[in-house]
Amino acid sequence: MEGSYMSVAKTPHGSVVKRRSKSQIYQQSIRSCFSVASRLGLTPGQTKMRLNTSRKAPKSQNITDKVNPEHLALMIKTEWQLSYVTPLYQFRHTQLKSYARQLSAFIAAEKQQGLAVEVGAQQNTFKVSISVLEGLAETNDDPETVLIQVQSKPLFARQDDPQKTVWSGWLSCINSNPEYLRSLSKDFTCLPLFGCKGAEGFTSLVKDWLQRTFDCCFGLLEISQTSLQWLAALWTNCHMESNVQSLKMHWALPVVPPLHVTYTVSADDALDLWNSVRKNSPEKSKRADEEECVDIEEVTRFMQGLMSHFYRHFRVDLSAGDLTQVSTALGSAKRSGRIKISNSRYLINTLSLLTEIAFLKMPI
Amino acid sequence: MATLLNLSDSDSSVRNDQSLSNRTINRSLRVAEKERKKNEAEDPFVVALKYFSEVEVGTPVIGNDELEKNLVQVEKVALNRGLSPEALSVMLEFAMSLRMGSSPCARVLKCLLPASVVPQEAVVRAVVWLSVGKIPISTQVLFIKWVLTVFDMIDAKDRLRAIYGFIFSFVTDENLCPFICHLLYLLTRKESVRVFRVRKLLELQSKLGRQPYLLHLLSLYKVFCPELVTLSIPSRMRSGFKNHISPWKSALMGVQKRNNLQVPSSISTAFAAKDKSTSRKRKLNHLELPAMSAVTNKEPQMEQTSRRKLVPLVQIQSFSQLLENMHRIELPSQMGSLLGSSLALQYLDCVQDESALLRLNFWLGYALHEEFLFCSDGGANQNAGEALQFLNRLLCAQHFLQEGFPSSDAFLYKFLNVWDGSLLCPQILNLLSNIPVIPSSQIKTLLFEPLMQLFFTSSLFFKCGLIECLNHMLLKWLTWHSVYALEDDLDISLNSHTSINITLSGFKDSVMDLVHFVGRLASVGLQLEGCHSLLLNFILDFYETVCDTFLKFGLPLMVMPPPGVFCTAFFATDPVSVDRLAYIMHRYKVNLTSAKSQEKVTKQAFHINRQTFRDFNHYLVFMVNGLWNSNMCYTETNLQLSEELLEKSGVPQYSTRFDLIHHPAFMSYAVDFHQKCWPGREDMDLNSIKQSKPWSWYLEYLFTQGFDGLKDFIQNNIGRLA
Repeated sequence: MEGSYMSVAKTPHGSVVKRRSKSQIYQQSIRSCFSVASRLGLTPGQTKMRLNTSRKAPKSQNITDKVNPEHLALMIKTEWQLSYVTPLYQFRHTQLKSYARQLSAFIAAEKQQGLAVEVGAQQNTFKVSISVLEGLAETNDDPETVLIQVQSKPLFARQDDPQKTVWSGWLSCINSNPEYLRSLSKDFTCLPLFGCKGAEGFTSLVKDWLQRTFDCCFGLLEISQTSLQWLAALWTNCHMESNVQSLKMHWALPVVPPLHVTYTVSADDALDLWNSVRKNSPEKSKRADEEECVDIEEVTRFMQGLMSHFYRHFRVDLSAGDLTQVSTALGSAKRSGRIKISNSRYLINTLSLLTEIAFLKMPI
Repeated sequence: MATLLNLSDSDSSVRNDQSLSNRTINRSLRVAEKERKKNEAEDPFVVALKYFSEVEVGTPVIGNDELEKNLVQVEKVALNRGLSPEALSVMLEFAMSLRMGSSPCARVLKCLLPASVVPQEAVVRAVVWLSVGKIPISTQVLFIKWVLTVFDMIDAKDRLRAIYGFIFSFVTDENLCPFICHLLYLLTRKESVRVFRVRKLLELQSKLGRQPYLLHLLSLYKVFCPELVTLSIPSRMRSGFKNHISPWKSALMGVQKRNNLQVPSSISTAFAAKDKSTSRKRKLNHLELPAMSAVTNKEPQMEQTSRRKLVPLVQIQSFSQLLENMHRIELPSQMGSLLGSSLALQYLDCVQDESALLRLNFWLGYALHEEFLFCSDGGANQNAGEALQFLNRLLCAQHFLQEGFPSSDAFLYKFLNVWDGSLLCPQILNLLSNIPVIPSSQIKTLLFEPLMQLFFTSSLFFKCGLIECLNHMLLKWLTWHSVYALEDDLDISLNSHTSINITLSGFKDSVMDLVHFVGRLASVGLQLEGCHSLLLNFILDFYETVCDTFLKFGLPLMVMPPPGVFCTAFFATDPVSVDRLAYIMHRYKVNLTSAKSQEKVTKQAFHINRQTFRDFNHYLVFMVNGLWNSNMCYTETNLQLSEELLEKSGVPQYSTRFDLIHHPAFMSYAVDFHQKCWPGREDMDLNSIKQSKPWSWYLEYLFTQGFDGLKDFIQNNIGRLA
């Protein structure tokens, strides 16, 4: 066996190897190599997924009957730093308690270098809780959102002081690409969107632990210019249902010295502009009782309208710069991958857009 | 014990010492035997051992001359040659049983230098005595130190492992603890890691503080059972167990040297500090391979017992271990770590676990994307060294497995569109040559379009590199085909459960596309670079692969080089290119002839395009006419050179200018031959070579200059010499 192995390993690639066993392996590996990509719904190589060019206009959803209001309160009104995550291997929603024990032991061990920690023992410095945010999913294929919280007692706290949450994060997948999900074997759970807030140290510890435990990888999720434009348009569209107060945008212009432009439009004006660039006005489609769709061209026209207005007043062409931030009363989004959602009614919509962006970053 | 003593190999050494006297009384075996017995009885060492094995309990020590004499004897032998296993047993038993109290105990221990191996049984008995007798603590420590020193020489460890729990009970002793921990470290197996032991050690840790010996034992526990205990070792503590200054070390080395024994690699097994995962030098070190570590996250439904039998891959150190444990290996928690170990790759190649492959691919794809496409750390320039190292490692793994990874292929298809052709060029081209067959429908967008842009906008050296890379790619595809086709008799459609079927015709289409693509690149590239002979050589390399596809790889497909390549090679001024072209034409002929004859015999439905035969014949006639018949005016071909054009050149007798004598590549040989043939002649007349005798001599002369391709070509294509 060893001999045959060595000879296989040493065979120069150009020669003809007449060995049955190896060709068997070759056949299998060719198959697996094709199937890994093809089972992911992609022909090999053509993995270029694109951002949807058309999406439903967000409808205000009262998800308080679906999701525990306490959970919702945790998600909204905080700014999250986003990352994308490759599918988790052997992740089970039923094992969250055990994961929490492992993670708290891991954090304790890393925080106290050189001190061994028993997994599962009560930690008095850090307590980790991992729970499901029930209902925070849109389609049946979406795995449930998972919330991770690290609690700690302040150093000089009294015995009966409550533990304080020092770090929290979540893994989510809303309105996912069902084809992609089904193509993964059941060993994998796809929760591609990761948001967190808290000390940097904890973030890297938790990521580290997730990487080691579920063999996944984390990468920074930037919100691209196009995605920010989408958010600006969709949030403006919401003004019909709930007051978004104003649309605020930040631009960075590549001049010396760098020029930062903050551009605020009152929500009513923005909505007027938005309605004027829509292909079919909302009234028409409402009458037809069909689902309202927004097109990328409409978004582009909307942004062009805003920019040309700015040019008319200040003689500065914003299209030369980059949109770095968009905010309304519904939330704010930054290009660096920070997002804040202030109104739970549009939580699902925003998260599904972000899930889409995260899927774009998947390596296969 | 006495019977044992007879078997000891101490007597063989005794015999050696007295070999002289033995030789003199070698008359009969009986006498010799008698003598030997007598010698033995008198050998003070044997007597001494006998004394120690039989001495009564409670024999006084002070003033005991006999004890002193025997002990000195044993010490002498021990320091000189080492003690045999039996002698070790006797002395260890004597010392640990405290038959003469504790005072000689340490002295005996200090002289326990094994000659060959240490019997496990003796060690086990001694450990038992450890708890029975009232051995002073310093002696206990000395004993454990001795066990650690000779650990690698203990003949077997199974019984010692069986009393793991018993040995473990000594950790509570503050003085013994560091040494017991080291011993346990050496003995620990997965099944010995239990919750109660972990708790005991943690309890000790809270009592004694962060002691390195506890940590090292616990870190080994973590390797086996990460679900029970976790820790991270600070870098300053990673050095391992202290190499205890043991009184035996130098003496033992001396003994081993004298006995010509190989010194065990490590007298005190050093703690392998592999766990370097905590170093975080860079904030975004996506190119660092994860450390190989056991799985924390176990399948919940898996039974405890079967889980206990699994062997983490990180524990496998050699190929034989891999074979032994093939059926119960547990993959590491992060598949990326496999890339660094050839043993692990070997395992991966065998198991073909789809989830495992996918995990590896996710990680690899992520690392490549982050580094080269997303560049989230602000450009790849800062860590070009790391990227280089990473790609080299990836290439190493791919060459080991003899195939690429789907995620690196997918990455390449994207990367080719943004690549400048110079960043890590050799590595990227090398990776590119590993990509599998691409279906003909996609090959253009995925491969040809980006490569074409790169080819035409890059330097000569890149052009050469790319042609070489495509040659390797073709070779790999053809090899894959030939290996695979052997199995299923030319039916290479992949099984139905893949969405992509590569049929034989599909495969042929892809290969044909690739060959035609290189043909186009080559024709234009040669023009752009002024028919550079380096580029021409790489192109001819490629056609050397192409011309042999039928005979070497069993693929019934023949593609002729385009005129742009053929003519450039034919009119080349260096003889090497012409010679190689002749060789290629010769191989084309051999392949085509054998394809044709096979077609007649098997009447199989494959046939090579008529146009290919026609093209080949045109080329052949053109070449023979040019080189042999001194006639360039062959009209029925797409290689037609217009008469007017040739006349315009003003070259007299242009039609003879490319025969073997006047061809610019061979002219110098003709001149040389002329001088050798007619040394006296003043005026040179190359045409005189054309006479039949000198012509055949001239050919002979050319063949001796190493033009084997030309030789094959002429001998097989021109009747006169065949």
